[in-house]
Amino acid sequence: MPDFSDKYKKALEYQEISPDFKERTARLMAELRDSEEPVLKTAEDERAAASVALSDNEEKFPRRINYIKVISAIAAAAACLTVGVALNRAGIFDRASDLAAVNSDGAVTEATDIMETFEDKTDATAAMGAENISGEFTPSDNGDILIHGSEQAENEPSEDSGEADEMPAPAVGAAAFAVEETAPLTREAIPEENASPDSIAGVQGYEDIAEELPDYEGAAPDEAVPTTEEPVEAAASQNDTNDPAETGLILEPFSDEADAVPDGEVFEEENEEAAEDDLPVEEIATSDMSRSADFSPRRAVAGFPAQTSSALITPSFEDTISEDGTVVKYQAKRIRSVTKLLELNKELYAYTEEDSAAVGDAAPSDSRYIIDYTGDQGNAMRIYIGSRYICFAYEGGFYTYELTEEEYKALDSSLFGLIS
Amino acid sequence: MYSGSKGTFDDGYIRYVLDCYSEPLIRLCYSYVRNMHDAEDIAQDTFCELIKRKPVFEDENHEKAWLLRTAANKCKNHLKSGWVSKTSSIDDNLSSPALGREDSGLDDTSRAVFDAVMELPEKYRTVIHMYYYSGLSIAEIAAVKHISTASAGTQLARGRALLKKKLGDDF
Repeated sequence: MPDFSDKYKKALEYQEISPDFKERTARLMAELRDSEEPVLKTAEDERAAASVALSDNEEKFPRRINYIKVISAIAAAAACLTVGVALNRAGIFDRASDLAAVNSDGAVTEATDIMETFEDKTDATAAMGAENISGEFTPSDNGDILIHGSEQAENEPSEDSGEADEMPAPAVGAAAFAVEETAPLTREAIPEENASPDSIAGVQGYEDIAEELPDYEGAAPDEAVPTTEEPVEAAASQNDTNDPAETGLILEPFSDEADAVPDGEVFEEENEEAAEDDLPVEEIATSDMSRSADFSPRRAVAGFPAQTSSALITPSFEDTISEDGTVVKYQAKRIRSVTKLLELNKELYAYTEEDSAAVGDAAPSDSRYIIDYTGDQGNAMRIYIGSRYICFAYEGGFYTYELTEEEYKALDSSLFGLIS
Repeated sequence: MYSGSKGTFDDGYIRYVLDCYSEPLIRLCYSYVRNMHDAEDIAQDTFCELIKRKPVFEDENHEKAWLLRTAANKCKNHLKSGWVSKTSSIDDNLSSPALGREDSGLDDTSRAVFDAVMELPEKYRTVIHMYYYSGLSIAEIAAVKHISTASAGTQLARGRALLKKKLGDDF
């Protein structure tokens, strides 16, 4: 195909090439060639100069270089140690699964604050000693710590036996002594995850405990275990900004020896409350009001630091899907995440800050949610939540706060988000 | 050893390379990309690559083969690049005004041949271009295109058949 070749070449040559293509390309190639050579030379020169300088310095200042190396190593080690301690304080190593959540600034700050408060209280409790709380705790048969005393003395006066008179444990005094004392729940009764609402009832009510342990006053002081309770000092320091009724619960030495208290290491408030057995009805009602004033949801919830606690949320309602009539039943769920627990804690006292509680002795029966808190110290607290109330089972009393519809909807939304 | 570059890549060598290989490289690149501006850019890149790599050639054929092969590779990379694959190229006639003008002096037959070649698929178009314009043998075409000699021969035969179908039996 000679014709084809010629005609194709002819047509191709009609494609105009830029007249300055060669000039541009030649200039570019020359620049490229010239720029690469100096770069190479410069790099080699610098490398050589650096090696010479380094060897000179090593010869001249061997000690100084060694010092710098040692100091750098020490600084690096110190930095690692600091980071490790900070992470440990934030509870990272305790809950590796929550690492990402705890890393957020807000969570770390709040978690650290709660942990510090908890440590302060624990230290103060240890300092008080076991003698001061001899009337407050009695080991149960199976070795678990049961909390009783003040409520029993208050709610079950000496009609059945005179022993209560011999060992009065007034409510206010006990509340002051054990600010963070939990509701009358046993530590062994911690239901497993996804347990049914009925099985969660392993948490006992006050009356049940009173029946099981009629001889609580016989407990020897040595048997008392102070670890589960919070000292008044810690509570007082924590509640500097609270109302006067709370700040008045400061420990004072007991001076009246007329009562049958062996050591005299009890509080004035206890002695005052000890006379409640003889008070008329009106005064008892006043006492309930003081209990209401003493109670603080924020303080009660803060007794369960997110790093060392868990919460079992048990929903007791069902949803019916209108389309096919399917009934959806929700399972109980245990919350262990630090972040989720912190959020839950906030929700639980967010709607009760401005209100005062109504005190009662019976648990609500129409609760839509039941939240059981458990701490690593064996503390436990139950919270009932209905469409119109939130009720804290605390020290044998039931402290109920009314909720508006909007508040309940917000709370319900948060809780539903946690269990779903 | 071929002493064209003399290992220095001085101005004389640059001038020599540009004089000898500018047009063949640009035409080859055009057969790939069908756009003169892109073809010039790719040819320029090929010459820059020569300066960067500073290859040592055994003879002129080695030098020519290296440049053609490098240019062909750059053209393939260009065609595979995201910009080219996601945009439609300008019409060939617009990019080649000489062929678009009626008074360009190019006869209709040459224009028809050129159009027929440019309408071939790339693998046939480039083989036809290398064989009829660059004057490479089938073995050299195979080396430039990284294919076997048999494949190069087959592609050349199929390209010819396609051209015959378009242009008739006159060629």
